Amino acid sequence: MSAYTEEVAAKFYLQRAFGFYESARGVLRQSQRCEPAALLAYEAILDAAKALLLADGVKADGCDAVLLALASAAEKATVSEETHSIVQEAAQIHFKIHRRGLISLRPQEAEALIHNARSFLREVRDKLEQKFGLIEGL
Amino acid sequence: MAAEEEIRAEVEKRFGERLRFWGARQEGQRIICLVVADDLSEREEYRLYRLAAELTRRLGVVVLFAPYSSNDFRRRRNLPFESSFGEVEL
Repeated sequence: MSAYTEEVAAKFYLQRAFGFYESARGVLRQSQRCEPAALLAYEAILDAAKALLLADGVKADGCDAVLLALASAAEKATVSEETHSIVQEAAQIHFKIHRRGLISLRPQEAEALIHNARSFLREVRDKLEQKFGLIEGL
Repeated sequence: MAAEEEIRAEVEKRFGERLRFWGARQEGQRIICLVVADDLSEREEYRLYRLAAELTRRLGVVVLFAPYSSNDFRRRRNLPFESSFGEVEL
């Protein structure tokens, strides 16, 4: 993938991430249903993570590939351990929703995930803007 | 030390005698660990998630936990996902 294509793809993923994030906030505000909001926040964090990796020339598809790429980047100190931990926690919540049918997600878990998504997306936006300049619509 | 043994050692260190069951299963690039402990609090559950991130970095494989308090687990043990770890005697 060329540097130009990586830039375009990174911006696309980040813009989509903000879309998921806004939807998550809207769902939580309107219905108080925390699981759909958490799933949307998870998608936002995953897309932002893909954007972050692409900005460093790393292409990763799928949750596990993203987590392993971020873990590797954290080991090399090109991203912080906290950044990797935020994405991994989102994956844990996603796993919990899909595998624990009788227990519903606690509302505070969904709220924490959305809060994390907000700060994570802003962090990724700042990093991408440092590298590529201002991103339209964000 | 194999990845599963290293994870188990960390979990045992954390819960000691409160650990009622531990099981691990590999699915592609991830290791899913069922952890059942007495009186597992929300804070401990959250700390397990942090441990999962730390282990993922250290072991190079995605580690995910399915944590239960033993009282909850007794109610839920016939679910397909939990049953896939085999018979669990608490």
